Amino acid sequence: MSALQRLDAAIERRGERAKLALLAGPGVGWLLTLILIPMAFLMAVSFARISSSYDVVWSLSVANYTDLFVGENGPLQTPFIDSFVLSLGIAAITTALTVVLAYPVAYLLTRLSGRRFKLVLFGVLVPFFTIFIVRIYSWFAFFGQSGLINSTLMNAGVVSEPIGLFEFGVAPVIIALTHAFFPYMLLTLYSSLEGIDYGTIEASRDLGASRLEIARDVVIPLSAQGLITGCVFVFVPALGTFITPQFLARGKITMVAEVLTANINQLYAIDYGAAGSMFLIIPTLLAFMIVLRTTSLEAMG
Amino acid sequence: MADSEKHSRLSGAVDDAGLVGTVSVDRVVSAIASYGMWALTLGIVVFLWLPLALIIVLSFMQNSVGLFPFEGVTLGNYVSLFTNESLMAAAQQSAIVATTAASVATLVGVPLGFAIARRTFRGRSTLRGVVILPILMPGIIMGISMLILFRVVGISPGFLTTVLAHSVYGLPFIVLPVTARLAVFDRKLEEGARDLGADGRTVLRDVTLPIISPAIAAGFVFAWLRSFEDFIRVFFVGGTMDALTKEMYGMVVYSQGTEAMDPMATVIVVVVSVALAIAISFRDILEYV
Repeated sequence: MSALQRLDAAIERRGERAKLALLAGPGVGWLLTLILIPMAFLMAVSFARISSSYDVVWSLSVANYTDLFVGENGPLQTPFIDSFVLSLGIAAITTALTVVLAYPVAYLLTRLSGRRFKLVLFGVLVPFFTIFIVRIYSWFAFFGQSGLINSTLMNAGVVSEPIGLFEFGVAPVIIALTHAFFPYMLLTLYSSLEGIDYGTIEASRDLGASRLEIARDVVIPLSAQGLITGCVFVFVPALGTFITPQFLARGKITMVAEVLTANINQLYAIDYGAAGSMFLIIPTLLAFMIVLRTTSLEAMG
Repeated sequence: MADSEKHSRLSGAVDDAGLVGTVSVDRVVSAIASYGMWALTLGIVVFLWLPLALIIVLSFMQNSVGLFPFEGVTLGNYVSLFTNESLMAAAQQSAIVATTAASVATLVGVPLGFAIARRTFRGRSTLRGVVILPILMPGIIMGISMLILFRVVGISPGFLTTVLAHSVYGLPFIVLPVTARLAVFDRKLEEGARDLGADGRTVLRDVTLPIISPAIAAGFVFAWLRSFEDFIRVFFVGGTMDALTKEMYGMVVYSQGTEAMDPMATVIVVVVSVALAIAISFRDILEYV
C-alpha cells in the first residue's frame, strides 16, 4: 500500500468516525448524562452525607447503610428491611401469576390467525395502552371496607362484616400489578413462542409424547428466553412500584418505593434514601445482565 | 401460520382414519386442553376489562363512589371533568411535555438506531444493551438519581428536567424499532437507487426514510404515551410543574374527590380503543410493541 493510499484510507476512516460521532454522539450523551452518570452519582452519594439543601459532604461512610440495616430492636429489624422483603414477595407472586396466566394465552395466540387473532390481541392490548395510573385506579372502587366487593357481599347478606381479603392491602396490590403487567409477559412470551417451528411440536406428538411432555420438553425450553425476559420486565418494575400501594394499600402496608419517597421528598434524608435506592439499583443491574446474557438484542424491538 | 394449521388438520384426519375404535385418550385431553385454553383466554380478557368496564359504568352514576346506593344516571361527571380548569390545564401541560419529549427522543434516537444497526465500532454491543436501561430501571430510581444530580449541580426541577427525563425514557422506544427495521431492510434497494444516480441524501430521503418511517412513527407514539402516563419521574424531577398524573394522584390519595377520575378514565379507554382498533386493522402492530 502506497503512502498516498494509506493517507486516503486514513482520511476515509476519519470521515467515517466523524459520521459515527454525529450519529451516535447525541444518543450516547443522553444515556450517559441522564442514566449512567446519575446512577453512578447516586451510588457514590450513598456513601457520603448530604444536607437537606443538597450540599454533599464527601466523607466516606457506611452510616446510611447501617441506618437501613440496624434498627432499635437489633439488626435487620428496620421498617426499611420489612418493606423491602414485602416488596420482593409481592413482586415474586406477581411475576409467577403473570407467567401462569400468560403462557396459555400466548400459546393460543400463536395458533390463531386473521380475525380471531386480531380480536384476542385487541382484547388484551386496550387495557395495556390505557395509562398505568388509570389501570391501577380502576381497581380502587372494588376494594376497601365499603368497596364494591364488600358492599355487594354485605348487601346480598352473604357476610355481615367486610372481608379482610377485599380490603386495601396486599391482595389488591398483587391483583392490580398482575393486571397491569400481564401484557408485558404476554408479548415477550408470544414473540418467543412464535419463533418455535410448529413442526417440532407435531413431530414430538407423532413420536408419542403427551401434551404435558411436549410442554415440558419442547415448548418451555424453546421459549425460555422469552420467559426470562418477561419475568425480568415484570419483576423489576413491580418491585419498585409506588402508585400501586399508594392507591390500593392506603397505608396498610408499606412498599420500598414508598419508604424511599418519604425519605427524599418529606424527610429530606437524601443520603439515607440514596442508600435505600441501592436495593432497587442492584436488582435492576442484575436483571440487565440477565437480559443481556439471554436475549439476542437483534430480536428485540 | 396457515401451513401449520393445514398440518394439524392433516394429522387430525390421520387420527380419524387410523384410530377409529381405539379410545384416543390423547385426543380427549387435547380437546380439553384446547377448550381450556380458550376458556382461560376469555377469562383473562374479562379480568383485563372488568375494572375498566366498572369505571365506565361508574362514570355515568350519580353516586360515583360505588354502585350503592343507586341514585340514578347522569352526565354530570363529564360536565365536571370538562369544566375542571386545573385538570384541563394539567392535561394540556402533560401533552406539551409528552410531545416535546417524544420529539427530542426521535431526534436523538433515530441516528443512534442507524449507528447501532449500520456501523461497526467498539462498544457497539454494550451500547445496544445500555439502550434498554431506561425501560428496565424502575421509574423511582430514574427520578431519584436525576433529582439528586440536578439538585447538586444546581439545576432546579421543572419543565426542562421533565422533558430531559422523559426523552431518555422514550429513547428505547425509538431506537429498538428503528434498529429492528433496519436489520430486515433490503440494502439492495439503496444500492439500486445509488446505481441509478441518486446521491446519499436522495437515497436517504426517498428510499431509506420512507421504509423505516412506520417504525419511527410507532416509536414516537410509544414514547409519547410513556411520557404522558408517567407519574413517578415527573413527581421527582417536575418540581412544581403540573401534570395530569399528579392531579390524578392527588385526587385519589388525598381524597380530593374522585368524581372526575371515572369520566377521565373512560375518555382515555375510548380514545385508546379506537386508535388501537384502527392500528390493528391496518398493520401488524406487534412488530413495534
